[in-house]
Amino acid sequence: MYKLFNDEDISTDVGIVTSGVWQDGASTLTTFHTSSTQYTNTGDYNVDVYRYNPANNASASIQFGVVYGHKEGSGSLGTKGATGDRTTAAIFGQINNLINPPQTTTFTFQDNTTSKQFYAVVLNRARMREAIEPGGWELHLSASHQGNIAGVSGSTLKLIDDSSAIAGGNTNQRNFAPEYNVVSGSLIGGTTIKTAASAEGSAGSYGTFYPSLGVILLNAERLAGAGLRLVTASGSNSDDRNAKKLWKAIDNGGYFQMKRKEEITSTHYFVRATSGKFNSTTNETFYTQSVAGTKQIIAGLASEPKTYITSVGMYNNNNQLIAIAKLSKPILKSKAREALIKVKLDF
Amino acid sequence: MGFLDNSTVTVDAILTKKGREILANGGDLNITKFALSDEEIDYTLWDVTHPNGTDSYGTVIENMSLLEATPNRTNFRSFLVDQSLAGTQINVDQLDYSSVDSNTPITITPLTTGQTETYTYYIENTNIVKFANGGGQSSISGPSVSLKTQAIIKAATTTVTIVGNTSGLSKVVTISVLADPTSNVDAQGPKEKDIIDPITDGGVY
Repeated sequence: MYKLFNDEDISTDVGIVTSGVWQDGASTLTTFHTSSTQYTNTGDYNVDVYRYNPANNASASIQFGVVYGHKEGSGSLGTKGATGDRTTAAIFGQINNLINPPQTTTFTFQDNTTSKQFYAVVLNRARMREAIEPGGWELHLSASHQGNIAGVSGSTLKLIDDSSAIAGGNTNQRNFAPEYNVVSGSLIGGTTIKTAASAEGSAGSYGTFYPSLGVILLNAERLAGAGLRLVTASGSNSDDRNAKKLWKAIDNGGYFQMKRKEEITSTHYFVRATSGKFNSTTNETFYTQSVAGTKQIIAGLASEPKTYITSVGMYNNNNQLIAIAKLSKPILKSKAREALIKVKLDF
Repeated sequence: MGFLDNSTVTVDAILTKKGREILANGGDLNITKFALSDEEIDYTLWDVTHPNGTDSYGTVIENMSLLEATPNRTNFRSFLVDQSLAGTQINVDQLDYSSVDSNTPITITPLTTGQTETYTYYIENTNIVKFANGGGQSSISGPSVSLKTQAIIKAATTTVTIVGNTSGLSKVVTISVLADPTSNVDAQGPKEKDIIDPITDGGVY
């Protein structure tokens, strides 16, 4: 009943699969929702963003989170030696510890090597799975909601990474590689970088991007400059909720495209049922007398046996059933017919 | 479990619980062989009186939609075999053991008509019956097998499936065990982890 696989029957390949990162497999988000419950409870740390409104859609799931970090805890309640969670300092330390090597106390955004603050867009792990595809995302930010602030225009800033120009990423020492710069540009109509990170000046680049972490760090000092003019509040012992400001800019930008990338290892098993094999069965309905006595094959199948394949069982040397492959419809097998079934297992 | 779309022939493959367990323990699936099954096929639907002729005798069978694969399987109910094995069957002394007390030994010695072979024995619920010389493993191979009923708080029933390693024939033995008031083991509770390799730890009893 068992048939051994030989070397020609098994092949393994590794392929890269990319797909839309957002809920339902979408690659572009144009509407952004938050949860008032989450914002009330932990909104001083992060703002969770949904594709659908969690207030009226039970299937709404978190797509990404937005945070703001500051080395000294500005923009959040509490100071050293006083009560308060100092949430922005906690976020700064968390991301700094994760990304930067030991003894690093500030972030580097190209020419700005002493940044004490940042915004971050952190992808939900279930959404990104293995990694974000470099060169596969574009985020629009708009400060139009700040229209009542003097000097702020409603222009839209389009951000991408610079993997198309620097394929290997930055050479800075980091705990994760690659690291790409966040630059102004667009993927629409072909990747175009408007201004390279190195040309942004002393405020530094727009940020850095870590595909394996699913994290986009945004340079708050550059976002405050020409282009977006996102106003970041930095009051001491002040619950400023800067993360919400970035979320509003994302919401007003109305466009976030992103794809994830997975490395899938597939093993293909070619199950060959040759003409002379598998032409009988232990199926009791194949016989007229199945309990006692001599079994007789039912009329019409005795002289020219025909069987049907519905399932393939894959076994190890210990006869343990490891995998099952089910066909969508029965396949006829006889001495005049051979069957070749390809079973693919992905890991 | 649903039905598969049969408008085109596709293959729906999944790992069984055993396969997942091996992966979770960091092991290699090491798939070395396959067997074909015709589960779900009722050959009595083969209609030799079909008005459209011989090509249509199997129409009813061929047009059916098959059920999806489920992971909680250890074997199939029937297998495709070579023609030389047609009509052979496994015989055992007793197919139904009812109202058995706890800690009762049961020995099963199958025989296949027309040939000598070894068998693999699959216990459905190892809280109710265990292999006499083993731990909590759910399958073992050998020419015969010794089982021992377990002490359980409520009466329960399990099956032992015997599969001929050469013929692919199968036979199901049912064992019903009486409640043991001294026990606190729930037959439907979690089972002892299968840590003993049935081959390397000696499968013949």
